[in-house]
Amino acid sequence: MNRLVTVAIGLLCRLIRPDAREALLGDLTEVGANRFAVFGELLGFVARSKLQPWLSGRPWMLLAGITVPLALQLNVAAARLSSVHSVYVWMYADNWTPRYLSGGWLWSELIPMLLGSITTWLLLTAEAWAGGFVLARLSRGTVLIQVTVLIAFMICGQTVLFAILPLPVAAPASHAVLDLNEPVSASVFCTAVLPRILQAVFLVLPLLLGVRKGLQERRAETFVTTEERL
Amino acid sequence: MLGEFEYLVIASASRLGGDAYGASVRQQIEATTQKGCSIGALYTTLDRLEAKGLIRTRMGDATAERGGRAKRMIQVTREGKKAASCFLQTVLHATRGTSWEMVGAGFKR
Repeated sequence: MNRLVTVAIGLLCRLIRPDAREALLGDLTEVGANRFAVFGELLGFVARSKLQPWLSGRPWMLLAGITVPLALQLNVAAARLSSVHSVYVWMYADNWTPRYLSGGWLWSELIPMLLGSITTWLLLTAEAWAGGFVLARLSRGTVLIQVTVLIAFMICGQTVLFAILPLPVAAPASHAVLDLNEPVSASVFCTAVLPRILQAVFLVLPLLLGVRKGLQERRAETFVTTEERL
Repeated sequence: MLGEFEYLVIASASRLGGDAYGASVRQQIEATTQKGCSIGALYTTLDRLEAKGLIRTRMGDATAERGGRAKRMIQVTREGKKAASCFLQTVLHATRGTSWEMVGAGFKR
């Protein structure tokens, strides 16, 4: 139990600025607080620090105006692209022949399809990076929650939306509908694994890199402002 | 206007003068209110007051009793003193004519 509390204290300390951490731990040592009291005080401080900014309207405006809409838009776009690319991946993999790489087929079909796909995904990548950068610059202390919500909605936005909102659902067809992509729909790789890989590489990773860049620039500006004051 | 706890922090820091830092201000508040004071709540309030320009803080000396960790020294600014004075005037003004006005004047801890 003591070991668990010590680990928890270590994790909480990482969420606190170095100078505040030193002063807090020093004060707690001075008053002779035990491990559990230290954990309680640090948890209280971290919770208050993270929740304090949410008392103003700005983080909520950011959440409703940028975070959730961006996440849903990326989710829908990525889902549609993944669906189309799953079909092509299955088609080429299932019918593969070296003739695809020779002659006219390569230049008239395969390469344009690949270039078009890559361009579309790169556009979404740029959007995810820019979204992360803007969130980091505007968030001021709420970036962790904003980015968590953005990633959550980016991955399962449509599911959440249909669960929460009373959106009309199409009535089931009265006759059997022929699913031309039934082999793709039946493939776990095409319906579950490939979309997640594409989301991780083209959306989540660029988003996190954008957030990191935004935070670095904000810290550099704070440092320059402090230097100018001195 | 200042909040009640913010006023307590500024008043305690002002009274302590050069000896005002996290643990000493907390001790002062607990002695005044006869209630426990969370260090986490105190530090969050210090950050808020500093952001408003009502106090200034700096890292002081480390001591052995603090495990070699530095203190966060607190100094009340001129704006902080004005804000505290304004809070007190408001409370006194609001208290005029109440049934506990005279009771409060004679109250001693």
